[in-house]
Amino acid sequence: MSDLAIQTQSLHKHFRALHAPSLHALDGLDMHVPRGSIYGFLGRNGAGKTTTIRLLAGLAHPTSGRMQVLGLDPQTDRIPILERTGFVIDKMLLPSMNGNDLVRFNRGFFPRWSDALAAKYAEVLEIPMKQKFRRLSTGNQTKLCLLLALSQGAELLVLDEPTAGLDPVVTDQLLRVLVDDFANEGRTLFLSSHHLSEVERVADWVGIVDRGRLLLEESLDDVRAHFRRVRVVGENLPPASRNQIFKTKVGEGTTEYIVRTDTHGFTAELRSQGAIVLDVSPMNLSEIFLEVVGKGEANVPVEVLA
Amino acid sequence: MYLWKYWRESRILFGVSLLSIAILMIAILREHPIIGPHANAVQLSSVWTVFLGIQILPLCFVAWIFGSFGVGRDIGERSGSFIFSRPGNRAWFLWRDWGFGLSQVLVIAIFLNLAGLVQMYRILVAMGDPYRNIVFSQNGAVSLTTFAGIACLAAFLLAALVFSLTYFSTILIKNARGVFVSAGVLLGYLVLGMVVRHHWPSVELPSLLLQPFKATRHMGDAIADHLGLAVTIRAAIVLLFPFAAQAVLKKIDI
Repeated sequence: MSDLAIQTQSLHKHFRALHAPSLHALDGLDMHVPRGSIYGFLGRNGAGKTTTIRLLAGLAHPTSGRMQVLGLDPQTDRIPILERTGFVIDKMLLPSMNGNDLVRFNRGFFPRWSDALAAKYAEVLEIPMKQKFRRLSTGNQTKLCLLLALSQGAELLVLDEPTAGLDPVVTDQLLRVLVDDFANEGRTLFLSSHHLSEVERVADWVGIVDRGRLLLEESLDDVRAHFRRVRVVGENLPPASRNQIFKTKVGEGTTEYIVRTDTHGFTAELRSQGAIVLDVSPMNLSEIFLEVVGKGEANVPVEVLA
Repeated sequence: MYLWKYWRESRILFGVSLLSIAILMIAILREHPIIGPHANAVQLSSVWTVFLGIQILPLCFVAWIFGSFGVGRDIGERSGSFIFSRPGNRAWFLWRDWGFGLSQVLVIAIFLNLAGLVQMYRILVAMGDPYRNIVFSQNGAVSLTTFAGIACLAAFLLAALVFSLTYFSTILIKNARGVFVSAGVLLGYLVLGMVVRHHWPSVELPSLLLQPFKATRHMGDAIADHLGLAVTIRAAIVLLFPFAAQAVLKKIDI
């Protein structure tokens, strides 16, 4: 059995349009989601997150490339994948059904469905189960989607923007359930988001996607431990092309490096070349995200900073 | 459980349809048929016209609405990703929608024809013993039940065509607004038929409605030749649409 819950290789998805150039939603995505991890799939709007999830669920067809979910191919083994994986994508269920109807509808599809879990989450998440889906608030709609996914006894949960549009209280409630009840039992949780603070709170792995490519994929501990911002004054500084240096910004009199590994070795080397290291500062996930997607501090949508 | 979803969506229309037929039946039973003094024989084609006339429009309307239920509508309402992320292949959902919807149309067609059958029987009874249970024609006799069966089949085949075309259209445009596409196609075919008849009187497009009786030169009627073939061809056309819908659904991104 593969130790990866999800794997993609050179995954491409192009959307053709009659009177416009084709859109490359995914442009060679290589992703590796370890089993048992909480994987935060980060990216700006339009980066390719939802397209990736739709491909994984077998809802869309890739233009080229390979992918595996729980060791199976979503194009050929959709049904066994869907029996073992909970997907929450559009957060739109059947509008005319209430929560109890949706539980009844869903139950027949999943061999490991648990009515006890459904009842438990309805109570814990305080979902009005007798109200029609279309009349529920956004928060309760999301909770109901999550209830159905959690009750199906899935090994893997794939959630697309689970906390979008929710207030902080509901967000906290959902994240607690996901981490405490689901992921702590060794199951895999894959969640796409552009709310970095939430991902940083729960995830142990992150993948940053932009323009259909995965630009960074590491465990969050490694990211936190290794990424450093180094400001330097000096001449004949090392080139930006070195693998160790993620990014270089040359300013007025100072040069700023984003270093991804071995900061001590790098600063020692700089000093030995006569450079003055002004400061070495750790970076949080938001700062790393901004550097990785190449936007710096300016021109970044507010939601990314949330 | 999936059929239960379709049933939930369609049950009001189904119930209203059956209720309307029940009311029609009661109205029929309350009225006494009035037979003119010279009514001594019934020509099949005339009965046919009256018999189908009262049911084709309501039945096709119901079939048209039934065709809009199912996965095409779900995709349009953004529920497609929920439905199709349940374990089941796309064709599985489609054939259940189509089969269940068509069964409901069939039940309505049978009950409508039952109402027609009752009315016809009462007319024949009022005409007197020689005509009871028999509709005469010059070339032979067709029993009333056979006649009602053929009428039911003809009405159902047309309704099934409307239903299947509408169901296909909703999947093709990924929206319940496919009902307008199918209405446009059906209307377009009728207009085309009129245009063809106007410009080329010798050419006639195949009728959407099964024509089971033929009129002879001397006012006689008989069951048309090759009726079985005509039924088979129409049934095949009806079946073509879910297969086409399946091919479309397999290819599209949800």
